[in-house]
Amino acid sequence: MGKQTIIPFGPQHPVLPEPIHLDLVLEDEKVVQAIPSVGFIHRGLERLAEKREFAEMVYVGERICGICSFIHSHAFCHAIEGVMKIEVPERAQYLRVIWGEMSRIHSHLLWLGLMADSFGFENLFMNSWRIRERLLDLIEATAGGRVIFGSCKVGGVRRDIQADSMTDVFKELREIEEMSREITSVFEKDSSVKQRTVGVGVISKEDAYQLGAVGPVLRASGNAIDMRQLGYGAYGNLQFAPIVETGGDCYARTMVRCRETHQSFGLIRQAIEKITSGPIEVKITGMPTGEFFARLEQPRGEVLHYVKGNGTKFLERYRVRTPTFANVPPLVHMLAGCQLADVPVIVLSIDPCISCTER
Amino acid sequence: MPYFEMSLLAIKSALKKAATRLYPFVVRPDIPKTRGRIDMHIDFCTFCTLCARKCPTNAIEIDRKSSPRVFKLDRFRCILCGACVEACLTKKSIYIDNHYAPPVLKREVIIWTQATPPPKAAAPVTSAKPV
Amino acid sequence: MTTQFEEQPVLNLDRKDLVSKVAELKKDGYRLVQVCATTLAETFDITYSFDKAYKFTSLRLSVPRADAVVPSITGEYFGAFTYENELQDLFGLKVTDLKLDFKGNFYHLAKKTPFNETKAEAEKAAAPSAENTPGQVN
Repeated sequence: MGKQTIIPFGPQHPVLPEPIHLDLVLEDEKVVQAIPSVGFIHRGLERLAEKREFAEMVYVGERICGICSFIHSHAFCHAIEGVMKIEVPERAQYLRVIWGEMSRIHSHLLWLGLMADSFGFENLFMNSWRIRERLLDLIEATAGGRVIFGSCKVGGVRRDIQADSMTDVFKELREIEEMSREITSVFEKDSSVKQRTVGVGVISKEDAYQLGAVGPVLRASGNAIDMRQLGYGAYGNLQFAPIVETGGDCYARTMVRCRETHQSFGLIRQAIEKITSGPIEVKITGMPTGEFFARLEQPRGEVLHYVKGNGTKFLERYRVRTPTFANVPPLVHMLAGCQLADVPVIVLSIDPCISCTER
Repeated sequence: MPYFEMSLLAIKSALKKAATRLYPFVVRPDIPKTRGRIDMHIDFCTFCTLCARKCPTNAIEIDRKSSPRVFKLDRFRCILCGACVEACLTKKSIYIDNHYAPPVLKREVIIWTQATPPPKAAAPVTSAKPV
Repeated sequence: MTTQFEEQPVLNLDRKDLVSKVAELKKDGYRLVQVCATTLAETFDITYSFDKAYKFTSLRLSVPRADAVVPSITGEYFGAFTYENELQDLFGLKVTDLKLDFKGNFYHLAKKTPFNETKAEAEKAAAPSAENTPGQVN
């Protein structure tokens, strides 16, 4: 039994996109225990619901996080529509799916770059982000902003993609898909990637389910749970199946995200073929009374927006439970027993989005 | 071969031209839908103040009792949501320009003024340039 | 195509029945989704949500603010330690028998227990210095 030392990991670390603090208890290079603590980026956004009208809270909901911003705004709108029982027009639902899947591809490409950076593979990092730039230009051409889409509102969407722009989107996505196929095949086959990720940070199927893991962390251990099967938006009309791997280690999580990227390209093509014409928004009247839990699938897992209205224009309670918050107990479990050099790889493999975690 | 996937990618990108633009000599082509900055055609504004009410961050400040009438916009508070553009009754006065606002050295508020038109018509409205 | 809004049953409980009901749900194969607290005038409303095969169900407790103590469910679901430490740090709720207790150090905050006030109390506390916002419309 060696001597135990405690070293801090974060909040500033070259590999972390956002600040989280972990106290690692070490015995000679092996991590015995990891103790997390958060709160560096807590902005109290849930209390802001008391000061902003419910229709304006979409803008706040969008800005909880930069990478997962569109699906946060979709979840908030879905929650308010669930409370007030509003029927969103079909074209708006398809547009939300298209933007949501573009957001998912963007998030996974960004994560692939960060993952390659975590074990020092800078060339692959830069190549992944080069493809992401083309996707961001496409998003700006359809939604107006590169990161904050500003397109969802309660009752529909705020701007439309015209039919001729749809064919441009289709063509551009084909090219982006070809380029991203080159990147994902490197992640799949390269031996240096495999050496750093296979067998690292293993979590079993039972443990992942019991500890409350969500998203790719849960699906990479063999549980086939994907919130898009609930059928919100236009997902009820699209054909797809949750992507499952059985390894439970960092390599399996990387493979799940690579295959989800390709699945998203297919989903956008299905949505473009099936989209109907019609209005894109519906007028809302009245105030929200009651409560609803909206559960959506973000790139990182299951996000839950809880909204409680009491008949006035300010909400009584707005609660966001983000996927990274639910993935912290599995992270603590995975870090026990690993080598110190594997800590950045494991922390990044759950895709930490700490500004979501601490709203 | 497990090594050649990346080597192929690296050689291809070494032989192609650079993915980055030589800014400022080469400028990115304009994208029409970009939300760059809020701008005003002050001549058409009727000062109904709906845009100031709809702004979620209170970036717009309007004074219509003074003479000339004043319209102030704090670009540092503006989140480019476009609620003011959607709320405008004339649909011609406030708009989103697709060029980003240039960086400034000191935080300042943009001011447009419009001389209050006299009660009988036919007097032209003069507008000052933004400060 | 009509939107499907899923059914979300809520069961109101007493705090002494909480641990036994949670143990029942765990044996049935449910996973923990979230724990949320709402500050009302006299009480804290705490909601525990569970999910199994896309079926969603919730349990709700109501504890008086003067006697804000709840039992922990980390005995059944160890992953609940993050949610319960958050309840302690943000709301000032006391959770007994926590398996991994950070004793108030989970969240680094400048103001302790910031969510322990309702909207009306927060407005009264802020009333002497009126909020200074632009956007005055004359």
